[in-house]
Amino acid sequence: MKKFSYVLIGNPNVGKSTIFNSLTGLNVKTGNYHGVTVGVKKSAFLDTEIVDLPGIYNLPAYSLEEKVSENYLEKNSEDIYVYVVESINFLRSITLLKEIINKKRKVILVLNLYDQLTSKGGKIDEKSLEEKLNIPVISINAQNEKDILRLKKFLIENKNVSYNLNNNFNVEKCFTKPKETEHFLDKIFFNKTLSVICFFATLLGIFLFTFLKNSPGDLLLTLSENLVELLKDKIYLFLFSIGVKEIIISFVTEVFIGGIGSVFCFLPQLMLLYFFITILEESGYLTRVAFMTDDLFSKIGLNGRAVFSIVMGFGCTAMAELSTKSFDNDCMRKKVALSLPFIPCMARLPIFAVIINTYFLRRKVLMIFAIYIISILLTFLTSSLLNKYIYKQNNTFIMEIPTLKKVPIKRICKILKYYALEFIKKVGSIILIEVTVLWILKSFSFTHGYVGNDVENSILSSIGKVLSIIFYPIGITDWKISVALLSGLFAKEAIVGTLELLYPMGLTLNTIQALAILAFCMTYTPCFSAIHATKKEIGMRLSAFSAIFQMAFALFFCYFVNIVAHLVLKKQLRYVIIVITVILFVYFLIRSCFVRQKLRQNYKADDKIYCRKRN
Amino acid sequence: MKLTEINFNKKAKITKIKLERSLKTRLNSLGVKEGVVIKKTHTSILNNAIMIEVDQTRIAIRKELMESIYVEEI
Repeated sequence: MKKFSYVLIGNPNVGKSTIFNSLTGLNVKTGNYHGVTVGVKKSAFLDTEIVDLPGIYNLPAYSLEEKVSENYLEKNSEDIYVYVVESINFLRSITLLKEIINKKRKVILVLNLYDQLTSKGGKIDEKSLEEKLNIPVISINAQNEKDILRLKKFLIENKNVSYNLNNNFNVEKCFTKPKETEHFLDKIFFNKTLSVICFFATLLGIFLFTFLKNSPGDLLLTLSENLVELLKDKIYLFLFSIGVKEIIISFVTEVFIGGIGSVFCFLPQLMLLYFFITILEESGYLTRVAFMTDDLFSKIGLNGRAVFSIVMGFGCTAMAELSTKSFDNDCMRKKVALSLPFIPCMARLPIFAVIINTYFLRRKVLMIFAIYIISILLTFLTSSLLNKYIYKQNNTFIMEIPTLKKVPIKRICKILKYYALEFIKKVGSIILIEVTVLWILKSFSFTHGYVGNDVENSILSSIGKVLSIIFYPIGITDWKISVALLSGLFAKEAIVGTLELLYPMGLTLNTIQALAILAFCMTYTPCFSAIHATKKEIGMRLSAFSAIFQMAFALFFCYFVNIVAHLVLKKQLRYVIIVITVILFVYFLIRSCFVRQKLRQNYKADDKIYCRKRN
Repeated sequence: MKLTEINFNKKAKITKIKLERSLKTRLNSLGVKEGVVIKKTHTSILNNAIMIEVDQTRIAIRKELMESIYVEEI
């Protein structure tokens, strides 16, 4: 039985998770903003274990994620608490250190990013600090390998650290303040006009770099598609030449090369997007965006910190849902959690790319940009409606703005490697199982056994035809599309694999159907793991409601897109204008009725008060 | 005077923070407490949020919260 654990504790965004990663070789999520770690992370370390706790400013805890740390601190009195401090903010961190020492916990003090402090002319007198605090002190930079080795040795040497019962220390004299300096980029990021230009230029740059024709992203996609195609031909010819049975050739080429290979094609493009997201998260730029855009978020009942969850949502909805734990206000947490599923995660990108490359190649960047903009608008609209009618409570905004940091290329590579492995694991497990099950269902019939390419007589066709009833009103009449779209409920990447399996010769849709599929994929229920994460944060009932509502909304939205696309493509734009005018007219009519009713109620209330006063 | 009334980049000393306990503790833990020197440095696009500097820490807070922080010019 283990006697104790090393527990990394401290203010948010001081480098606890970076130290945890460096000591364990793991790759838990890091970022240059408050609230990246929201749960307890554990790993084996030396002959015991090491624990990474969410950041906490003070006791008692203020937000849910801080409560996790507080509870841990209360329950585990035998552990050694490795108190991590950002050297530049040393004096501020003393408050929490005193509170931990007051609780009679064994503490080791780690002064992280010490070189940053010294480069600005600051200094901490380690020896006198150690004497005054009566606890072991070490200064390091968590991204320096030599420092990490030193820390490891230091932790071993001090595993028998004793309690410090003296908390009447005055350490201000040990600290020499650094000079006040401002990063030159902050002059741009905090300038009202330049920050807006910079933000949109960054977004546009990322999209052009990844999706524009002949851009690095596009070239990587074409290269990987050609490789998969070549591999498919070679393997088919090889298996055919050695006389392998047709059923096995079909399984290998359709499931492994067609289904799984088609999903793998998007790996380089996804990595490119993750590369940019990593830089945004790790550098501290997102915090600047959060601050500058707080006005916009306050209008919809959120605050600037929602930016972190939204950007995380572009990567993975499940992770973004879990990040809502860092909001201190329950209403706000629910608003963000219920709005986030409208943000298209990275797993939806392959299906967007397949449809757009096939049907809207000339307007590729514009279409992708439009998808993201519409998704963000839908997220804002949901939050705004929730704020207006259900969760009306006001929220505050207090956020620490960290200094901008250079993101070492080694760190980016490590993060990208992690994402790539996660993607490969997901494709090799859930998606492989899903495509295999679908292949079995499409290759066999209830009565005739193996039917090969005669998909219309397969078991899948019988099931798909029943399921396709759902999609009839939105103009998708082919059961294969229905099956592919519903397969996305397990993992969104599976849609492309299923389409490749069911349409080996390529998609046969018209433009309106393609638009409807895009609209549906953009808005429908996220995968089951994201629903599970939502359940963890806001409970079973709300998450179930959110999932059902989103499916219904997606169908309604597709229906709307279908009608508009019909009218526009058949050059009946005037009807579109008439429909929009009628909708606006009805909206304002209903609104004016409500306003009149409210005014009448107010008059009545005023009358009553007036009468009471007169009496 | 209130913190909102102080000009940008002018230093001021906090004299009182009139906020509910949890918010006050949160600000205290970030270094915003009575007696410390504070400076307003930047605003958000529509001036709803303001960035203040205390020692080496930069904190973004909304205007309504600043109404409850009282300071004296130095």
